[in-house]
Amino acid sequence: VDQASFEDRVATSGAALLRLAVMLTGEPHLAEDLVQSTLVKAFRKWRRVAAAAHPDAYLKAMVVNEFLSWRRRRTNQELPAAPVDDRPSGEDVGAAQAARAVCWELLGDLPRQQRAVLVLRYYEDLPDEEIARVLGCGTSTVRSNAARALARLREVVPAMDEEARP
Amino acid sequence: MSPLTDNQLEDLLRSTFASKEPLAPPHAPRLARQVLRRRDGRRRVVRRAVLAATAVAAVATLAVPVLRGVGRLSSEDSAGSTYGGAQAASPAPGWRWESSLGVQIQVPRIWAVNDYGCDQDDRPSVVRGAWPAEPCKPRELPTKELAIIAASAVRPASPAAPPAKVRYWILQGVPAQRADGRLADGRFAAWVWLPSLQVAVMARTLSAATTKRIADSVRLAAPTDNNGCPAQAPPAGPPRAGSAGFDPVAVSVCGYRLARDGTAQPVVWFSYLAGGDLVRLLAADLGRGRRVAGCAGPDPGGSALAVGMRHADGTLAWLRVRGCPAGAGEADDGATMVQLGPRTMAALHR
Repeated sequence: VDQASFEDRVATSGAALLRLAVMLTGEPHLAEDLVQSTLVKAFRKWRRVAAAAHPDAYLKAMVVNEFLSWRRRRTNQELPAAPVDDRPSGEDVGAAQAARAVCWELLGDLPRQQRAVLVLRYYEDLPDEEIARVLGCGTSTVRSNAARALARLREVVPAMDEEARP
Repeated sequence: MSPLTDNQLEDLLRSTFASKEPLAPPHAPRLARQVLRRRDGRRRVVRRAVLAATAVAAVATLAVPVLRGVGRLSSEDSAGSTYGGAQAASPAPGWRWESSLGVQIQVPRIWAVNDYGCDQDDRPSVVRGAWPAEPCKPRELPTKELAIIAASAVRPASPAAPPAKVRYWILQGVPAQRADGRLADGRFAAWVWLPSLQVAVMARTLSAATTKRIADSVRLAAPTDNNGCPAQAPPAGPPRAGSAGFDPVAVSVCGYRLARDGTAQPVVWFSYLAGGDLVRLLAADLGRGRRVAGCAGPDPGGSALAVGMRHADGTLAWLRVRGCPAGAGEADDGATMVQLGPRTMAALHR
């Protein structure tokens, strides 16, 4: 295994993988653990990863699939992390920020597959066909997952003030 | 109040994701190194697990008739025996039980013991029975992994900044407190404190899952821990050395801290199960039966050892072992005092 090639790739792509992992897990420490677990697996088959047409896309797909398998395994559902400070913020939180906070909280409640679809569609800007390839499902499944997730989001957001909307 | 349009909804999602990007941990240059280190650790575990599985299979094939009625134990460090009574449970694959100060925890099988303090290196280690007064303040590397069972009359400091939320619950009938968090150096930390026992278990590792498993595994070790050691040092006997049927297959090594008056304190300081080399060394010394009158002076190890000899016929006999100057020791089986060689004593105090 070409360790130097691996280290170079992690140096260039690590930040993007960590950001993607944060969007999936919603939590920075879990995100770091997710990326580390993924890279451990990637290192084992590094020749194949390095030879891929788009190694970055390959690694991102691995992160998503590791996330999905992680959440399927009960042992990994509750990982320790620094507790979130849930006291009210003393800042003057703007309306748009409040909307994003609600949205982020709702994303945390979504089933893993639905959250992954939203992240890949609206954060990674992947077309549905590509999302289907990453997740190993059909485009119709991607669209139905996206529709369900958006519907849930829509249920919550109408209760907010107009000015809180984006 | 009109519903959101599709575009508004998509904009909200995009802006939400964008606003959360700063949450991503800084892409530290250590990421690749952490991954490689984690992978090396897994390879070591797998390699040892394969070796252990092979050894267990071989021993099981040969020794099932012998071990019937004794419990399962055959090789060095075969933690997870059924000697411990109510709370006995097998550790997860690749893990072992460690017991000290009335509590027991699971730690990765490959971890060292007591690699902590002034001369500690970078090896992951369990620390048995740490007392607050250390001879020096050790400086830990950010890659050091530890599970410490320590006497602690006060609640440990928060593992995170801002302070971690403390959870309260009842562990096997005694009040317990726990906090999880992240240290400034990136390690995952957790502690479990049992105020009535004045004991704390503190874990600091590079993996969230490892820290969680250690903290989750905390159990009381009363009346007998998973290594077969009772809280009170058992008296020696019945005498078995040299008699017919003397055929130890495994030993429970139970260490008790000595009080000022030389008596053993009523709590296990450390314990472990052993087979293999230690059983052979003990059997050889006891079989040789070199009688001694008892050495002078206090035990240089500062501990009282009770060694439970588990025989092939299912019986258990206790030896009381004490160290003597110059590395030798002596074992009392309730009837005679027999000399133990330095190699046996070193193996007992590993």
